[in-house]
Amino acid sequence: MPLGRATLVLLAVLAAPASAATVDRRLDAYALLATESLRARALRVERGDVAVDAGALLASELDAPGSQVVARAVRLRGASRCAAVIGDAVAGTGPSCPLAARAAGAVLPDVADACGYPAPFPACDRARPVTVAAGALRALAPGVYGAITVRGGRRAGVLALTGGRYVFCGLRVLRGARVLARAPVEVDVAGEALLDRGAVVGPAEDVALEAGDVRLFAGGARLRVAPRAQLRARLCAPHAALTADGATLAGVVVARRMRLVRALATAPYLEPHAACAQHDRLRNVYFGDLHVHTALSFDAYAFDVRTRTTPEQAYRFARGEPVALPPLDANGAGTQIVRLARPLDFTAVTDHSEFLGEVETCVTPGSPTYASASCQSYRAGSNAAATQLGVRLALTPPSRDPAICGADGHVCLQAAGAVWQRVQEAAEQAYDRSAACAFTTFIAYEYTGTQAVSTLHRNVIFRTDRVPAPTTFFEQPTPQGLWAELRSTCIAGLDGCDVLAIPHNSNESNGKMFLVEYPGASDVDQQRTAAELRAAMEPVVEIYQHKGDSECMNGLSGVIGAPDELCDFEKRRRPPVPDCGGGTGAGGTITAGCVSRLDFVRGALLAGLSEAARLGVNPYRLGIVASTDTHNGTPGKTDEATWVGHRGTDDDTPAFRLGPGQFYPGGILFSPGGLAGVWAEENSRPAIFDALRRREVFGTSGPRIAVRFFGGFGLSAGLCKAPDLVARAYARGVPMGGALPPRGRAAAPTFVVSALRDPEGAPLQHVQIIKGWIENGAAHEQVFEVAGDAANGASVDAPTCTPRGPGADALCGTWTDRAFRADQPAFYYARVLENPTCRWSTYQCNALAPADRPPSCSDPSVPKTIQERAWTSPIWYQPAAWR
Amino acid sequence: MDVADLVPAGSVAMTRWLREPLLHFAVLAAALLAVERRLAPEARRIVVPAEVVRGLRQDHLRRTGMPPTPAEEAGLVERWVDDEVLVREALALGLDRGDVIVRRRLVQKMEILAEGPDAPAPSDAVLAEYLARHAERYATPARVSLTQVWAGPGVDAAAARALRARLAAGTDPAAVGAPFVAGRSFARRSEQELADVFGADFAAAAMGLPVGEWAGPVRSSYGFHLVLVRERQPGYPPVLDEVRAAVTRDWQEEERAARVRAARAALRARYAVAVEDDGESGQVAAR
Repeated sequence: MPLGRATLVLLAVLAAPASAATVDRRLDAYALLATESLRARALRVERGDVAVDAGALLASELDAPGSQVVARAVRLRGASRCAAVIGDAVAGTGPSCPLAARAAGAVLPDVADACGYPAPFPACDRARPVTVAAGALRALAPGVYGAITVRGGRRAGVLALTGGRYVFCGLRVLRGARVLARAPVEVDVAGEALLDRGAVVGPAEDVALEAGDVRLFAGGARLRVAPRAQLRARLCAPHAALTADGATLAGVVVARRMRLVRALATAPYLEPHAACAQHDRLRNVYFGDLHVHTALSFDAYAFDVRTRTTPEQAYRFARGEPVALPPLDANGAGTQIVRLARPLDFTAVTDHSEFLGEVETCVTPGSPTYASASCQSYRAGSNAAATQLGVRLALTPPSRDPAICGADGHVCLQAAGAVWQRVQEAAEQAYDRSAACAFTTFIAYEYTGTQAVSTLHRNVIFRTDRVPAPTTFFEQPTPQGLWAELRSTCIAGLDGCDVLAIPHNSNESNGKMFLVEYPGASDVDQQRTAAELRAAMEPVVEIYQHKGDSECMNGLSGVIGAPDELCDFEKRRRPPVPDCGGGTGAGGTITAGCVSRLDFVRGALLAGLSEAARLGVNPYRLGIVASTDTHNGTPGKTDEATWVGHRGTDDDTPAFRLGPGQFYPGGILFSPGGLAGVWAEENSRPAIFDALRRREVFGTSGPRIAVRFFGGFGLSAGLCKAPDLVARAYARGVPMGGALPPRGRAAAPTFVVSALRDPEGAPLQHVQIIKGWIENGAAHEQVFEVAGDAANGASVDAPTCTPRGPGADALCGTWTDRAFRADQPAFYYARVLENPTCRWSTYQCNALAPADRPPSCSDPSVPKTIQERAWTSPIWYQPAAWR
Repeated sequence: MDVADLVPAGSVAMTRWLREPLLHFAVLAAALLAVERRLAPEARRIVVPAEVVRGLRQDHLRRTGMPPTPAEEAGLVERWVDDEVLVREALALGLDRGDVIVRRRLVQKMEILAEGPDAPAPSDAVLAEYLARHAERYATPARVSLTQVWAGPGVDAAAARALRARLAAGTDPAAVGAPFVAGRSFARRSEQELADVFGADFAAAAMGLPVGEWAGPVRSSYGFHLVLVRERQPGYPPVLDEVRAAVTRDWQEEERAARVRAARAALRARYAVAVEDDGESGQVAAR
């Protein structure tokens, strides 16, 4: 009976679960996740799945065409739309909402753990209630408070959260009132929460924040969101019943029971990715390079990197595959084969956004201006070619070459579009989206701001695959313009897009990178808004790379403190250098002009403390990373013993590297650069990016030193002996990048630093904490020894590079700031030092026959050894009362 | 970035050389003399092709936004002719030979010609064959999930063994040992990934430990660890569907390189090659 058989086959096909339907094991994939039950009528879900972890989902008129609906028992009524239903006991599915698979146990092993529910839940302080009157605007510093009420009505109140961690006994946001975060916040509401009609809880609209930057933890039993109210936050309330009627819930919403009527829910954009097998709430360390140039960069191309290193190859190099570098043979192929002994965990290729189109136009036969004289001389290559384009950045205002780009620049802008597409494809191809989570890439570029030949460069890193066209120095000749454009084209203007910028080579900025100025801001309020935008866009700084160290420099004016001899490290310029004082200079990109304390991270951090005291916002709350700035497409090639240069034909032989420098003055003063260390739950784009955002990151000068740094008023001085150090430190303190919680009764904060040596590197020597603070308006700094022994006698024999003396595999120390004063803003960061090893130049001088060694090999001002190191992001203390 | 060394350091010597008038004159005179002998009369006729004139006009338009006036156009042609004369004289002098930049540029142009456009997507059979040839590159490595306890800095093997006994008896691994800040538990890590955290020796040892029991002490770069392997996934050879994109990309790249090699070989076949003996090389042959 052929007909019957066909019918059977058809039925079988209809009944068979679609093979693509699997439960997404990532919390962030869910718009709504109830642990026990979810009942909904006329619920609309714009994006994200809907699930009940262990229980029933009952919905009528569900409108969720893109969502998977997951629960043990699912009952649908009315006309419901969804992408698929996954459940055991299912009723009411149909073609518009088909059954796709059986449920297999809980969605997540531990929902409360996955959403970061604090255990124990912090205690609030009933004696400190806050009420914001109708029509009032109140800014609230982080801290422990009582019940919070924001009054509403025709002139509704606004509570502005300035950023950090808040503990409330309860939260009532009445009619039309708003609670707006002006920087990332965590709000722990111990009791019940109410968003009355038209009320809003979420990020302020005029700062560059996403719903995910507002993390709301509710410990009470009830949470109510009234009609037209908007909750734009990640809500983690695994023990609460949530009712929402006619409300908007934007963000990942977790509750025990949900009753939703005519609600609109939407999850943040999330790229497809398998849940990572290695996912640890206490976070693991991942190492990467966030500053990498390939042949798409105008200068790298001119340096003949064009032989092989495309972005694809740079990513493959990061994963351990070899690449062939100049010097070139007669056929134009690279002759130096290099590879990484250990792959990196993540990498961002950051080619100069400026000139992406110029290079493409000039090297693509048949392009409109391929035959132009400008393109011909660019194609001739070498330093003149790099200068020919680079000099366009030094013009006032900077401008594209009309001979290459056409009078209005359209030839280059059009060509840049195609190159940008290739950049994105390379990042996509190399990103491991499987559960192995072996390698993460970021779509990125370098913004090459060069005011009066001072370096104002930033690496622009995107969180997802949704990105706008790159911003360049030509279109936005100020950093303020860059941030404003990133905010309007990405954060506010493109759904799913998020971005941050990492300033680097402040050591070449002649006092400009962190100059305290707010162009266009005419009063304190506008200055505060400008500071907020800067703080949101630039959470971290690159402290060290190929062109030297930007941590600190002795002898500069404006800071009080004893000299710190470890500041004399990989300096691009050697003393004496003219001091900018409070002013600025020019020419830093080519090591000319004055040097300012603000050219160094420590000076910027101190300036940030002063600004925070004045504005209530710290524009320079900078976490710390390091990277290479390789122009060879060789991310992570930081090893001193095997370094072969970072600038193609410009430094591809020992003679060039050790000499005075060709294109660029420096030669032997250049460095292999460093790495970015990240503490993240897993190795994926959102996890690594969010670690950068919350500054739980550190920089190293190359080795893979793993260092944890926590601070808090309740941390035990015995933590180094505690097997669960990390869990206890998270529970009672803040990690690197955080702000100390309110003081409570303890007199002084305690810090713990725990470091493991690079398993393939040198032993550790000692650990320090650097404190900076403001006292009577003056900037102070001091260095404290915390663990290990700076005088352990370890050394290295320079002629053979053989190490001598003892060292440590691991160091751990706690330190309490006995000089702490509650009215003095301060920052603290840790520095971990290895035993001395040979500097790259020593290896290379040693390898040359004595007669072949250039004079720099015997220059006493060039260090023979290097003390490799790690710098953690700071932990800040800001006195609470400021307004 | 590396921009704008406005005066490249290497140019100073060259500039000085160019300012030596006597040397200048001698070189030019010698060159002209040589050209006089070599250049055939027909090579001294310059016809400016129409497409060159058109190109000059368009380039001017792009650069200035306006078409050239007749006088400007005449000037452009004049300059082109001047350049062309120099190019011909230079070629006649053989200045293109022995110049590594010119040589490299010509080689690159020929290679780009030989590469041609991307080959169409290959069949599964072709990819499967390629995959089989490079199986190790795409293979999925063996992975283990483990929990480890670090005995602590300087703790000896005997003390570590005592700790293992406690763990085997059911002591909570979170409550013993020294804090190891890189993490306690690791899920489905390859040997390379474990080596990144613990060093190569530990990683190699951990891959071979029994599943489901506390083992060790295992030595890492930091000292002794007790290790509970919770799960082991054997590695497996690649499956085309899992690695299709990467295999296709690599195959295409190899194809391109093969086309260039073939083109080189085909051209090479038209030449007879002899290598002269410079008196110092041991291996000389006429091929």
